[in-house]
Amino acid sequence: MSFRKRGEVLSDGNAARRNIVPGGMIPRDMPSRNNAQRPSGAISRGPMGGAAPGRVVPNIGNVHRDLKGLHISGRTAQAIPQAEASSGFSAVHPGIRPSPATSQQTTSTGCTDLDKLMGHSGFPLGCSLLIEEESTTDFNSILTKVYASQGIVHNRIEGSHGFKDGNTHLIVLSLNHHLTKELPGVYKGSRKDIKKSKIAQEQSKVTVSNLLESQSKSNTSAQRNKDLKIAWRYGMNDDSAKSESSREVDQSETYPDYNHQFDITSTLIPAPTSNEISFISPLLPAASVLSQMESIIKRHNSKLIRILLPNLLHPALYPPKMTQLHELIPLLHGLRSLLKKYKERCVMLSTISTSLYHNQPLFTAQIEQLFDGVIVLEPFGQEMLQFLERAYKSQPNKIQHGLVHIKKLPVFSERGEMHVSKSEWAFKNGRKRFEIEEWGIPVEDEDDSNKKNKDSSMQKARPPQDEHQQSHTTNLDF
Amino acid sequence: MASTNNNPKVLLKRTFSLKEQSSLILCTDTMAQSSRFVVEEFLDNIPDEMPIVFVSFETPNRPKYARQFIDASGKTTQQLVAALQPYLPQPQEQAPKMHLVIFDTFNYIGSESLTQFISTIASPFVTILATYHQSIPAWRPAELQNYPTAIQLLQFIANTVIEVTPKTSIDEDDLDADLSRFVIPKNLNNPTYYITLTNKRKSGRAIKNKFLINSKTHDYEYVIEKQEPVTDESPEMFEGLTTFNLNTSEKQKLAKDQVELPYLEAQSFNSGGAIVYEFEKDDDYDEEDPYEDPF
Repeated sequence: MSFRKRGEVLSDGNAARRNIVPGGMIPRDMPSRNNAQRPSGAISRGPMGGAAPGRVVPNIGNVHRDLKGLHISGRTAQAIPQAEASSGFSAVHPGIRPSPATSQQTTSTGCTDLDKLMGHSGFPLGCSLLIEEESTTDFNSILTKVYASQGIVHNRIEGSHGFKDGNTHLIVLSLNHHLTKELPGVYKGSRKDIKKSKIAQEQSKVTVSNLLESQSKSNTSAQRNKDLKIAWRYGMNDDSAKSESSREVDQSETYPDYNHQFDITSTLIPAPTSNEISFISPLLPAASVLSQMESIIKRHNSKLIRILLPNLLHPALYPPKMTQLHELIPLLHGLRSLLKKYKERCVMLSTISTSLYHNQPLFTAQIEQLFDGVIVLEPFGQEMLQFLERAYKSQPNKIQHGLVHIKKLPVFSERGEMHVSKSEWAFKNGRKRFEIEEWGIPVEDEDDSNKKNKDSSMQKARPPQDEHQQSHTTNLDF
Repeated sequence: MASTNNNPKVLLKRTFSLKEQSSLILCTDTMAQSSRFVVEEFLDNIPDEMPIVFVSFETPNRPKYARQFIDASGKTTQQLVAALQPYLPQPQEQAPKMHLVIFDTFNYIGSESLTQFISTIASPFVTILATYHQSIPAWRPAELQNYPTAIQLLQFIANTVIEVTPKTSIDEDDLDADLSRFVIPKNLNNPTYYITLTNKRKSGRAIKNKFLINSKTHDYEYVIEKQEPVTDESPEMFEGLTTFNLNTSEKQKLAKDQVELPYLEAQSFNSGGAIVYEFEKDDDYDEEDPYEDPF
């Protein structure tokens, strides 16, 4: 932590941009990429994220988008026909890829494991997801923050002009404007990796002290070349390893900016601006919420729209009258119809704490009906956690925090496929990722000592067999 | 992660002396056991100089310990907030003292205004200690049929929930049945009673512990919920069931235990892959020949 602060003072504007530069494999190719860019340090508009190797299809899109960006910044936005803007949109967005199941266009939820759970490796566009949480815990807020951050990071992929006219816009239905300051930043590898990359960055910088050093030590440049060579060699090795490994990795090569890993202890710097995120108060009458939202969607007509509706019906945020069906249903239904109207570029995530509504099953069912997908988080109770702590005494990072139930999956459930799975998945929340894995009850080895005793007693209890074995061995010796 | 292993008794002590940061402590009681003794436990543990504001819906009698007494009966929530405000720490104060606000009941505040009311009073330097009587039925208007009930809301908001239950020999179900008919058994509302302390951490995770409290001696005893031990099959279980003899003698049991089941054999990999060759009489084995190794 302290190291990051020191870095902030030292580095120039590049540091800020570096935070934005996405990609799961930052620690690996970051230094080399920086080095490559260093000589032309002033070029900040370049398609930085797009320069990743091995990305075939979106690269074309990148050029296209860059041209578009030039158009907009150069002259007027009207120069591009609107139809082209909206049709060209989804094909080139770095955060969009076809679903492996239905080949529908999908975008990431921001959490890799949740993406997998959805069956499409992401959010099919035009769909909504409701995350229910069954106790007073707040695990859902992590998913909402990661979802929001992912949108912002997608928006900034193309470098600095993403601030002006990026590719993604986030609409939050909440009064909590602090959300912008709480968004997690991209995970930048372990602490060691960060230190290494910082040192490399410092050394590669053209500063007085560095120049002096290089004069005093004439071999530094050679040293640097050697470093590069090593980095390059490692890169080669990585590539060959990748090609051997599974198809999944291949896909992450094709879509390098599809999803990112976030570090929930860090914050996204710089905080999103009003051009990247808009807030709408959900307490307004449904009609005005919807009209505001539609005007925002229209204003950002070439962007992917991510809608976030956090803590639905939380008693501290929503007045009691919102629980009346004639208040709530028009809002949710209107949101749904907007989603379907702009289905080629909208997704929606919502969270609700169901512990307050568990004795009104009809009410929750009515809410669930208006969402395409419903996933339930059920944090473990006290006894279960104690049991897990005992069972995983030696590996505390294996302790799961709760169960994940699936009630509905987007697209599949609409087709009539039954995707209901209860207690098949478990989640655990760590600093760098929210993991969802298959749930299995761990084996408790508390009666290890008992077992041993039993074993020894059993051995004692069967001398005849032992004799028999001995006779075997004597035979063999013979 | 070590949180679940915390000493429950220490937690209870800290709760009673208000050292555990908690802005709303909720006591839920029933007709069988009042929360009066719990409130007294709090008063016994907190420092003497702490300002205590008592808000009363039920009694015009001012308790001895109350520095300020507010008669809330007949007041709307706005009026109540206005009456309370002068006794709460003011925002301009630099380092205000901890204040304790005791409500004798929250039953008379409707669930629709409850969250707003609590959020206006609550601040980092105020602890609210309130009781909710679960035996009093709650009325709620038709337009709030989907809104959570007051007790649900309170349990959701509260950082600490103390559920008071009597210590009686009567079965729980029988007691409920009796009380629902207003048949009140003897020896209820004792100074010795059980509480279930639910403590919510910052993350929202709840930890439940049960204690036996003696308010006379101020003794707290941690009660470990006993699990029903799984009873092994014993010969007595079959006694008198049938006319057949289903019993097993010790010797038979031992023999039964020694039977090696086929799947157990398959699981032992000790001799895995080894060629077991047994010589027979007719085998012709030449010790000189190095190639005639049966293995």
